[in-house]
Amino acid sequence: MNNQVAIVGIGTTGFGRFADRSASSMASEALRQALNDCGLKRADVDGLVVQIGSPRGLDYDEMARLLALETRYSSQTWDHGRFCATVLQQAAMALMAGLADAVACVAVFRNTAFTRHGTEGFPGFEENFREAAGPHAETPHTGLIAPIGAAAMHMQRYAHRYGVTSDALATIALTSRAHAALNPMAFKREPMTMDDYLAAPFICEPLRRFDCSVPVDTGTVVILTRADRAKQLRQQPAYLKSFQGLAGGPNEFVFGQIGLGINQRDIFDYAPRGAREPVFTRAGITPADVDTLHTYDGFSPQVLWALERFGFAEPGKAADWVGGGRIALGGELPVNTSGGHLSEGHSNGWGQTLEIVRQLRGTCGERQIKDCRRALWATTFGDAILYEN
Amino acid sequence: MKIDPTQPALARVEFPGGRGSSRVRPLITPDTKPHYDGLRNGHLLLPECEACGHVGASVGACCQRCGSDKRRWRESSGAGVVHSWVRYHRAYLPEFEALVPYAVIAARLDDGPVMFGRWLSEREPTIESPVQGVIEHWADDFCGLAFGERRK
Repeated sequence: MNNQVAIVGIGTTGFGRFADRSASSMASEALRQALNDCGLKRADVDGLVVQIGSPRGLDYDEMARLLALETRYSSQTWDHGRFCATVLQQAAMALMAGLADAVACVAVFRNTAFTRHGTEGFPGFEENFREAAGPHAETPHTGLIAPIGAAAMHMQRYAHRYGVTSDALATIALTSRAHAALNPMAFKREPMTMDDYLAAPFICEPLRRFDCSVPVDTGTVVILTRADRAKQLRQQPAYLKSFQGLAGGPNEFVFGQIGLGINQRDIFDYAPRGAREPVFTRAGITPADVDTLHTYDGFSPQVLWALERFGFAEPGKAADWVGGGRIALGGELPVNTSGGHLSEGHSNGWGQTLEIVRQLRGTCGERQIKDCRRALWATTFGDAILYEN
Repeated sequence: MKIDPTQPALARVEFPGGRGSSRVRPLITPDTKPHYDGLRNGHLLLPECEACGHVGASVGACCQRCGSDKRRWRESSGAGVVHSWVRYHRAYLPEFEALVPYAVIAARLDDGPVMFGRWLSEREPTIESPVQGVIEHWADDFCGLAFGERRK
């Protein structure tokens, strides 16, 4: 990409419990903000990529119709959180191919209007009964159900394999909460102590309540254009320097580490590509050149696995690596400075995307990282976007 | 392979949870039917690739290692070790409400693959300790795999 495309405008309803709000009202509010943010007009938006469709969100066709968008490039991903970077990458590719000149990426999803994820009545419950297993390895007749199950299974094996204790997970949860306390938009801002963390019940052992993200309702819009236009708009552009796509295959599992062998074909000692990941090599940088990391933290251990996959820490060493304030604001690599899914609210990566843009603009207030030049989105599941200002 | 349905290889227990119906059973396709029929007859059958010899846990239309669609069914002893485990402190499905807290393990079978199953023993699972596959029978005749401790 090499900075040929940028995020120019952002908007959001914030992250909360908006049970009585429609998906179109949240999309409309976020779009209006994003247009005001960059100075583009509604008629300028000719591309639309939607992350979550009906019934939690809106499908692209209804979205375009209800928001009065006339699009010549439209797309939508499967209704799962893992597609944040995929959506942004589709927008970038559409811009580069000339299929559109301004693309709105829209992620709206409602949670509180539905039952708990993993229970009957939650949209997509029938996905638990796919040919082999559900999207998170759900195998309901064995009792392995809800996204947490196989994430916990991976954490238990990881802890055994590398001798990791739950202290590392506490560090992730407490750091996220401390960051959220500085973020007026975060849903969970009340202080959390180690005692609070340990006193909270197990949901699915070894994961406790605060190892789990907080379900919220939210609508977010991010507008992208090519660089020439981005430079003429209101805000400092957040350029997409390099990116790499979502990984798939028999040894990939979204909520685990490669090689642990749970819902994966093989068991082996994981040797991550780390600094050799294309997102770094295409940009000509190393992990040490990244000023802040933002990652998908549906469950706290995913932060450890993302750090290892992308070469910030050796396999099994992330638990030690995150200690001593290293991933906190002021540390060597602040992670999820908005509070992430664990405390800002589970936004499928959109809260983190907004935060990346704000960090690169220098508008994060108390959370601002000094001289923030490069921000990385990178996940357990292998996708990444490197942003620069 | 020859399987004698009158000679079950694995012990069978009744699913003790609620409803007793296999509403939550997996999708059974022509690819997976021999596996689930095998369980109903007391045998754990796993797909073995005729091209590369890979024995898989997930049953699709082809081998997960080489992609070949030539495979045979191979009987597994159901013996293995605890590869990992979790314990649910919340029931997401009504079938499991009466069982909370309940554990589920990932068993690493001697025959190769890692498979999930409910944990039937009183004692907490221990990683790398021996386990034995057991067939769990639901009231409407669906059979799934579960695991308990195996004495050495």
